[in-house]
Amino acid sequence: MKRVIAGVLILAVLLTACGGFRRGNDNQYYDPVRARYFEGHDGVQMFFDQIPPRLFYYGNAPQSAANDFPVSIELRNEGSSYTRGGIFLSGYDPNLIMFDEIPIAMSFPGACSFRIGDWSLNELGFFVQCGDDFTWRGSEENLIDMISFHGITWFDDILGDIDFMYQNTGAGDRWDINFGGMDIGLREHGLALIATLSGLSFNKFLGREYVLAGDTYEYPGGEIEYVEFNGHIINWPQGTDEIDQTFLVTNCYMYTTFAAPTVCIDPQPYSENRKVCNPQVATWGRGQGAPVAVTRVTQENTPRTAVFHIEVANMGQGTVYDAGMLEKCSPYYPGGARSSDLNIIWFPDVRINNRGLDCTPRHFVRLDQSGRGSFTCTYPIEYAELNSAYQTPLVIELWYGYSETMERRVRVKRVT
Amino acid sequence: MKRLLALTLVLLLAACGGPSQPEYHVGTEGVVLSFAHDTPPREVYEDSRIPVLLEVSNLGAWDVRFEDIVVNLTGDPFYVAVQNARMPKDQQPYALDPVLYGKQPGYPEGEFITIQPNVTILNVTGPREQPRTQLFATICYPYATVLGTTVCVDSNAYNQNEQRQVCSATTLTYRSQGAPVAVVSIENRPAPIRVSQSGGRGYVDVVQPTFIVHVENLGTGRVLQPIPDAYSERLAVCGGHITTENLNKIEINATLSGIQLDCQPWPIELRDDKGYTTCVVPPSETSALSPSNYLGALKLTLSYMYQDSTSADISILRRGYVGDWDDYTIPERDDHPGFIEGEAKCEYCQRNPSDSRCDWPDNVNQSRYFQCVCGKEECRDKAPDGECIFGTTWCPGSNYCCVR
Repeated sequence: MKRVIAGVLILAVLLTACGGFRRGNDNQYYDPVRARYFEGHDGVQMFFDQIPPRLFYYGNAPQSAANDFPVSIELRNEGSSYTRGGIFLSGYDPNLIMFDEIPIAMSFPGACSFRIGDWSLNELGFFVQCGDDFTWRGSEENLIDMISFHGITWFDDILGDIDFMYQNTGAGDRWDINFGGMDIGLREHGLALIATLSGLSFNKFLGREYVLAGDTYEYPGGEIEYVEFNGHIINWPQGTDEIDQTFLVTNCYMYTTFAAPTVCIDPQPYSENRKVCNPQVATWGRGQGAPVAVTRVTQENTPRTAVFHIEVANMGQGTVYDAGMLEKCSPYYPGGARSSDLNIIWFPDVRINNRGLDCTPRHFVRLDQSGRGSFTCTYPIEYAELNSAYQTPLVIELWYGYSETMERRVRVKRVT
Repeated sequence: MKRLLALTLVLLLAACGGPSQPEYHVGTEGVVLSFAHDTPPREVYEDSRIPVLLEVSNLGAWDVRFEDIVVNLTGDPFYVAVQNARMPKDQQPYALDPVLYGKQPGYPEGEFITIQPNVTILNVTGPREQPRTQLFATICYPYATVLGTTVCVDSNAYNQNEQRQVCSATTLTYRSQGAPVAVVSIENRPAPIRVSQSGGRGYVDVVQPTFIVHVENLGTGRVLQPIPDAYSERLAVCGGHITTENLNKIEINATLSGIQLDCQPWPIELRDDKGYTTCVVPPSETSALSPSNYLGALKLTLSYMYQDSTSADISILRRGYVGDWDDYTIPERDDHPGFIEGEAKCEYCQRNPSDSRCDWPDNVNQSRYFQCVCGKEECRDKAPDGECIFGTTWCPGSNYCCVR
């Protein structure tokens, strides 16, 4: 009996190693060329690089260099989207510890919020509203400044084709971003999102900004960056020999999820003729290389329309933000983030060929408490006169903000 | 075999913890007064000097200057005469070391001194075969309870912030801090307030850190309000009249990461040995706080006087024949400290105020008419006004020298 069990186990291991078992319908979407990049549920991962030790000492001289310590954070974009984000360091007593990069005593201007209006294949409109004491410079200026500051080349091929138009409406400042006749594929995977939200500032609320390319064909393995904070113990409470402090690192970034399942368009769903395809349910077990994933697409065909029900979910360990409210992700934002700022997924790009689909709810979906949501999109069947079913990719791009945290507790002892 | 291995592993793990650091800020004792070395003897003879040794031990965590400690030893004046009943500040047994240290790294058990007053058992009059009496010792000293702890400064208690925070406001409880009065709990209750912004920019809603500090007298004595450094004032209260104005009041000083807190009520008043106060960060200081939660250092210092007492029972053995009243020898009145030239000291000094044997207290108006007519309670009430001498050497028996 024991030999039989052992033999079954060995067989299972061998078959698994050879790829003999597959889950669900992944098999039909498995592309060995693409599979390395558009998989997984990771976005931007962060790690403590040079960390403060769990126990260190404070000397009696407040200005002494012995009371200085660095905090270095390593960032890796392990997903498949271009991203722009900010790192925030908080949770420590500002009367005890000071960081050169975090002037907490400063007063903050109002946050800016971005709300998508309408979009078409080549144009996207959005409203910008900023709080008092903050002057909005304009989307184009912000984009150019960002490209220059970070020295990135991502927009080299498309910057000339991007036009920003401004309109002062009663509902706020409206901006339209026009992508001209450029190939839509050039602005996917986060570039259009970054251009749209180029006016969003992570530095405004004491963050350290970064931009990172994702793990794609152009940047295999994704980009890595290091963010440093220089800390000093500036004061010591009288009568205390030791004190515990907790450093909380918050990573806030904008991200996109790109999925392109192949769907079947059948102008004659009731026909008994032999067809090259039939509408099926598409599922993903491995994600699309982003923390928010398209988990399922179901389809219903009528002679004139194809209706797609798309389900999405937060598969990562962090929190989904409305991308337009990412300034509120900062722990230093007065008032903090409300429930209404969280769990919002925009879907500005749902199309078949170059035709956008009409979706409900319109523009965005709110995830429920379990981190799941869904929306329905309708495609008016083109080429219905063909009377023949055909396969075509359904392009889905989701836009959202994401936030993850990590913390480290240290103990500081006073030495006399 | 398996059990032996498991037991060995447990022992090894326990041993690997290493020696633990002694804790000094624990316990509910302060300066403790006790009769030392089996003194006084349980049985003593009349008309004799007896050995009495008082031990003053600082078992708490606060240092006290010796000159600030008031020790008083009394007994029934009918049986006992006590000299050096109070320890004036200039009679320091250890002149080079004026501080009685509490528990700390150099003094892990605290420090103690001994005091040896002169106690004489008087001749017993009357048909008392073996009377019993008590020696009553009190100690009064300034003390402080210090608590340094970490609290959560919660700036997001009311704004429904969905962001992750390193901590949240909770109630903290404690047992003791090495003093008779202890902080037993701290309720962390941040409160929303509106503060004006600088530059006339209107108002802003902020969260004001608020701490409700609960204190309790866990010692065996009673709490008096802090008394100024003047020894005479301390002596008058500790050794004399204590009213409700003096009792059960504690002054508190609170800081949060160096920010001075406002506490009300101040001082803290105890009821049934318990009291509380609410300490807040002043609105003008809320700008020094971070908008995200953090752990801050809270330091509380409670200042007060503490009074405690102890007693020893003694049984007096008669030297003379007990039976026929005519055989008793009445001692000369001048042998009694309450008499001068056969007359009660109070009344003698009333008529001879300048006599060198008349050591009038400083606050007494010698022109008033004093007589041995007051009881103990009445004398306590009158002593602060200089209308009674609360001492055992001015009148015989249980009366006190006063103005009535």
